[in-house]
Amino acid sequence: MSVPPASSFAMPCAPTGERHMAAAGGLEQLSLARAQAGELEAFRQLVRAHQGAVYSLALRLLGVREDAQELSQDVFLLLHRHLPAIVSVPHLRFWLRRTACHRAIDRLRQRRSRLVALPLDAAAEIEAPALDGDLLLERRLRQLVAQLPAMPRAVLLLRYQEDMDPLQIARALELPLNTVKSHLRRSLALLRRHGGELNPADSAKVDT
Amino acid sequence: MSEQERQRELEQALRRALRPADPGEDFADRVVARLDASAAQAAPAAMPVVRQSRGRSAARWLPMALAACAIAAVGLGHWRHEALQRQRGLQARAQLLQALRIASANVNAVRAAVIDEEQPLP
Amino acid sequence: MRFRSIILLSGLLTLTPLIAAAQAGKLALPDFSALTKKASQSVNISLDPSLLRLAGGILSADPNPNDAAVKDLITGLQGVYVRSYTFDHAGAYSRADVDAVRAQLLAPGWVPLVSTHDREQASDVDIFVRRSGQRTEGVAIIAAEPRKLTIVNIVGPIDLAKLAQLQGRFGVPKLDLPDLLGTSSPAAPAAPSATASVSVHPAPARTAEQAGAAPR
Repeated sequence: MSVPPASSFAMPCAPTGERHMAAAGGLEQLSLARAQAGELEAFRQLVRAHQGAVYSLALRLLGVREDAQELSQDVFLLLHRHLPAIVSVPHLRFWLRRTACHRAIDRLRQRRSRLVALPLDAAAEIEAPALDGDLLLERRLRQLVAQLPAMPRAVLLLRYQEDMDPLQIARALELPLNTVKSHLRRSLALLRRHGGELNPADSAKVDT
Repeated sequence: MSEQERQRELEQALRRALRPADPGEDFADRVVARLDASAAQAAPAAMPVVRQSRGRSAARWLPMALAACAIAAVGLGHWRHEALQRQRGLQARAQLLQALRIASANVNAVRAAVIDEEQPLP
Repeated sequence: MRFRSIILLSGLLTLTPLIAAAQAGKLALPDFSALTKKASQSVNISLDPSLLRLAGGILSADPNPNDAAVKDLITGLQGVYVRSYTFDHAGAYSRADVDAVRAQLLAPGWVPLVSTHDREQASDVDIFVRRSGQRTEGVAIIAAEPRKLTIVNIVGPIDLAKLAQLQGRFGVPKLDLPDLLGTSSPAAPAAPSATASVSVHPAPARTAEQAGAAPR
């Protein structure tokens, strides 16, 4: 019996970026299938592919590196148990981001702190390698994001770190769509007001 | 600079600022290590110790050892076959779900059109 | 020797209709390699009975209720085939590419169930069913949009109502946005707009013999 043909991703005419994405998606689908079959090395590849996203969500929500490391590992251990229920690579991505946010928010609630904003210097730890652009502005933005309440912060992270759109965010966080849009609107307005380098007189509109 | 341009700039700056951070090169290894550790905790009891009586010649237990090796080889082959079958099954399942999702989406699109047509005019 | 030949021939003659019936709902899908080369995304799925059995085995082993629903849906199916191509620009495929499939759907046994045409979006979705009496032998779906072509052929007794209910139960949110489904799955087609025309074809008139048959 022959192995079923994998879904083909032939893109001779597509731009290089899209071709790379689709080729990567095809490889990831293969890793997923192999991980579901019990191959540990394939599961390790999945972890590597998504560890940045999961860890960053955890870190930017919890604010403490050790907590974020532990929570991120927990998320992947949970993924390993739920592998048979994952049907596709997009589903995998959605599942990881949703689980990371829910777990982080649950942990924040367990801390029983109404003030869930992070101390400003904690945000300084969350450094991503800078490619170009204004490092000071980026750092300032991260500090401001860290001061947002947990749920609006999660919404903002899913939007601008994970590039999910409002409807996807609503499904991931189990919020009404209008609530998501409202969080985005207010958070962006807050960032603009306190951004310093940005014109504080401008009011922000959410481009949803 | 227009309002929209400012908005776009802010969003681009946010995307740059919120690039994913790296948990460390050995993060995946630590996850796998925890998996192994939890698997080891759930492992069955240790293999029983086989006592070998003194004085027994190799000729008496050698056939049994060979038979055990043969059984182990068959078992290993069977396990490998099972693992391959499971992998193929999982691949087939994934493709099946994808196919049904595509089919379901198209059927629902048609159903929506039919329902729209059947709605009474205001 | 001659007696054996007669038995063999008799056996073949007996089996042939059964095999033919099992495969009656199966379309001969053309080689779309030319479209695959032009497409920015393509999906090519061919699940024959043995692969469906393999998938069914995995579904049976999983207590997930969604998997149970899928297992129920595919019971009795003989094949699931999907060809789907997404292009960067309109006009990448022609009607002639689909004609070879449509020609098979003109054969006796296949009846059009629903046809939708959206003038604004220039898209057509046609669903055909192959029936033998009260029994469904296959379903064919052709969805033609300016930048996407999808052909689905399900061989065997598929319940379209249950198939429709599955959307949103696969663990992926039921969304209209193309991105979430990723590079391997075309997006759910947009529902036809107010400029759409829909043809719902009445069920073919039953013969007296069929009318007397017990309902499914």
